[in-house]
Amino acid sequence: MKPAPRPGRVALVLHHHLPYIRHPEYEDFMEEDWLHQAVAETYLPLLEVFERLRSDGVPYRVTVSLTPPLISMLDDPLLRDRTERHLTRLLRLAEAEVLRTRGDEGRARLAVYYRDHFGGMRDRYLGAYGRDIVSRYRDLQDSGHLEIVTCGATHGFLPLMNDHQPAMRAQIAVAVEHYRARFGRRPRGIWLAECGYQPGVDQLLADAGLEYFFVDTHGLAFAEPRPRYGVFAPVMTPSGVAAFGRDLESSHQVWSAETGYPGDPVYREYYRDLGWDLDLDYLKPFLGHHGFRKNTGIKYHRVTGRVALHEKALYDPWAARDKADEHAGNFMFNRERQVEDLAGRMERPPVVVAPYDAELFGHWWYEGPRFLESFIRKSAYDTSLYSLASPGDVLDEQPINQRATPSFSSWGYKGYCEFWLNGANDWIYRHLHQAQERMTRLADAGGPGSGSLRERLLAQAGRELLLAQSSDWAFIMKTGTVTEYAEKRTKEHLHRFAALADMLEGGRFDEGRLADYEGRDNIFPAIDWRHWRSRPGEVLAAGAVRTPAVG
Amino acid sequence: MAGRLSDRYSMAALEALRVTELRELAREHKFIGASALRKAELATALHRHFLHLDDAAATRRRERAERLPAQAAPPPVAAVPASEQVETVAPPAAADPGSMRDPAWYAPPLPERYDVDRLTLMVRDPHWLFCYWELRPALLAAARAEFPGPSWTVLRILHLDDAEGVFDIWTIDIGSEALSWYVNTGRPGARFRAELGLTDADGRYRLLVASNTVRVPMDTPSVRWDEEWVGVSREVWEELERTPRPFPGSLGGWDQLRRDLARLGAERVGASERLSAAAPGGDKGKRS
Repeated sequence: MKPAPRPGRVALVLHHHLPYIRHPEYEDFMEEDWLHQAVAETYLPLLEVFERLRSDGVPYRVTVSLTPPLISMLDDPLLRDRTERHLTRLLRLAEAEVLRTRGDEGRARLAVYYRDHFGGMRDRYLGAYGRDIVSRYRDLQDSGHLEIVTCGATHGFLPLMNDHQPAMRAQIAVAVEHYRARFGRRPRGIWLAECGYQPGVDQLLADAGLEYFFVDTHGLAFAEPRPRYGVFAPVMTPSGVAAFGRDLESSHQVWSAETGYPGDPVYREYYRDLGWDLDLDYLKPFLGHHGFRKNTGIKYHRVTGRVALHEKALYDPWAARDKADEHAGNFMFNRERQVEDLAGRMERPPVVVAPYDAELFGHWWYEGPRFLESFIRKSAYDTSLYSLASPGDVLDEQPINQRATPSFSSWGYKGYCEFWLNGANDWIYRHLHQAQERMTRLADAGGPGSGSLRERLLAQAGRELLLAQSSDWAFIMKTGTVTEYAEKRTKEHLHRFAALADMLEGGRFDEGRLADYEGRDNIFPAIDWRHWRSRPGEVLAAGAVRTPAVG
Repeated sequence: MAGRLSDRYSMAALEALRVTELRELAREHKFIGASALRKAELATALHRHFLHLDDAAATRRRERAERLPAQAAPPPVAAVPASEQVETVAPPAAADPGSMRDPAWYAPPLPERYDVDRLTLMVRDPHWLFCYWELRPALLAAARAEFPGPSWTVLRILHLDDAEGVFDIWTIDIGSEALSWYVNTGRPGARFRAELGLTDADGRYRLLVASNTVRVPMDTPSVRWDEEWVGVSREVWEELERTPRPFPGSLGGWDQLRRDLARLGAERVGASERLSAAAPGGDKGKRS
C-alpha cells in the first residue's frame, strides 16, 4: 500500500558559488585558495554525504545551484592541479602534526583524525572522482537525487545593470548554454545572483526557457497583487516563469550568529586555526610559495562559549557529530510544526523554501555536512508531515499558481541593492554601463564568418565584460577584505575589454594580445557574442539622452 | 624594534584592552578598517596583523643578512624619495595578506570621462536613489553662455505620476565637483526621473541632460488582493525543449511557443475550480 501523501514540501537549496579566480602567471595565488578550500571543506564533504545517502537507498531531493564560474574552475586542468597540490599539502601538514603533537594526547587524537580525514578525501578526489567534481554532481542529478539549477553567467547582479536588456540577456543566455553543454539537458531553474530581481527580469528568463527562480521573502511578501499564500507557494510571473520565496524561519535557524545552530559551544571554532598559532618556519612548507600565513583548515578548538580565542577548549569531533544530529532533529521538528500550522490554513501543500550558501556547510560550519545528512535521513524516515522536493517537483505537482509580480528585491543586506551600491563601490557602474553599451554596439555591427579574428575579438570582449560584471567584486569592496584585489579585477577586465573594443573599432587587430587575454580569461570557450545584439524597440543607453535647451 | 609585536600584544593582552585602546593601537600600526570591527574581532585581527608584521620583519632581516656580503654599500638614503621609503617598509594592509603585494600587477586607473553627456539614475532601495553623470565641457560652456550672469548646476528629482506627468519636483544644489549623488526620496513605490540643469539667482532653469526613468519598490505588502490563478503544463514545456532554435545566439523560437503556452495553460481559473484543483491529494491541477 502506498503511504499517505505528506501534507508539506521542503525545498532545500544549496547555492554553490565562487568568483572566477585563475592566475596562471603566479605559481601560488592567495585568492585561488578560496576554491581549494571550498573543495576540501565543502564540495567533497557534501558529495560524500549525497553519495552515501544514495548508496544507502535513502530517497531524497535537494536543489543545488552551480554557477558557471565555479563549474569552469572545477573543470580547469590548471586549477585541478592546484587543488590536488592543496590537498597534498594539507595531508602533509596533518602528517607533520601527528609527529609534532606526540605526547599531547588531546591534540594528537585530533591530528590523527585530520590525517585520516584528509587522506581519505584526497584519495577520493584523485581516485574515484578522477579530479572531476562537476560530473559527480551531474551523476546525482541524473539519478534523480539532485536538481541542479544555473545562475547568471558570472554572478552578475541584474538590478544594477541599468535595465540594459542585452547585458542581462547575455548573463542568462550564456549561463543556460553553458549548463546545457555541461549537464546534457536544459536547466529548469535559475538562482539569480544574490536573488537580485526587478520586474521584467522574468521575461528574460522566459526567453531563455527557464521555469522558475528564487526571490527573498519580501520579494513575494511585497508582490503585486498580494500572494494568497505568502512565501509558501510559488507565484506565476506575467511571463509564465514561477518565483519561489525564501522562508525566513528556516533561514534564521541556520544563519543567525546568535540563535543559529553553528554557534553551539561544541562545534569547531572557525577563527582559531593552526596557520595563526604555529611558528612560520614550521608552517612554510605547507603554505605555498608566497609564504604568508593563512587558514590551513586544521583547527583544534571548539566554539566553547563567549570566551577569547586563546581560551578556547579542545575540539571533540565525536561530540560535535552528536550535536549536529541533535540539531538536525530540531530542524526537522520545527519544519513539522511549520507545515502542520500552514497545512491547516492552505488548500494545497505548503512549500517551505530553505536556501543557503553551500560554503556555509563545511567551510564556515564544519559540522554542516553532517547536519544535512542527518536532516535528509530524518526527512525520509522520521516524519509523515513533509517530504523533500525540488521547485521543479512542486511545479509538476501544482501547475496552477497565482499570478503575481514579485517586488524588486535581493537577499543582500537590507534586502535591496545597498551592499553593491554604496560609497565603497559605486564608482564601478559608470564604467560597467559604458562597457555593456559599447559591447552591444560592437555586436550590432557584427562580424563576418565564424572563426575569424573579428569573431574571436568579439567573443573575448564578451568574456571580459562578463568577468567585470561579477557581483563579487563590488561585494568584496564593501566587505573590505581584499578590496585591492577586487578593484584590480574590475579595472583589469574593463581595460582588456576596452583594448579589444578599440581593436574592433579601429580595425587594427593585435592577435598576440588577443591570444594573451584568451589564455588568461579562458572562461566560456564556446561563448556566443550574438547574445549582446539589441532587439527592435529596446532602450539601450538609458540616461545618455541629449536634450534641447529649455527656457 | 625590540621584541616581537605579536609577543608583546598577545591575544590575552589585546583582549584585556578597551576598544578605544585597540583602535589607538590600530592607528599607530597602520591597521586599516578597525572602525568596522567589533571589539573581539578587532583584537583577533590586530593580533594577526602583528603576526604579519613580525613575519615581514623576520623576512627582511633574513634577506638583509643574505644580501649583505655581496652588497658593497647600502644606497644613500637621500636618493630615495620619502614617499618610496614609506612604501618599502609599509606593513601588509588589512587582515588578510592577499597576493596583491606584488607591485608588478598594477591596474592603471579607468578613464575619467567617456566624452558623453549622461545622467544615469539607479535604484538603491525603496527610499534611496543613486545617480551619476558626465557632462562635456562644451555643453556646459554653451549653456552657461545663455545666462546673463552667474549660473550653477543643480540636480532635479522629478516624481512622476503614472501618466508621465510630473507630480513633484525637488532641486538639489550639488556644487561643481560632484559626479554622483545619493538621494533620499522616502517615497516607496514611486517613479522618478532626474535632470541636471543650470540655474541662476533669478530662478532661470536650463536643462542640460535628463536621466532614464526608474520605479523604486514598495516596502510594504501590496494593497491589491484580487487573485488570478494560472497554470502551466509540463507537456508544453517539453514541446518547447524539443523545438530547435532557428540560429545560434537566438532564443527567438521560444516566442511563438510562449504564445501557445499562454493560450493553452494560462486562461483564468475560477475560485471554485482552483480549490478543487489544488486540494492536497486531490485531482492535481487537471482541468479541461
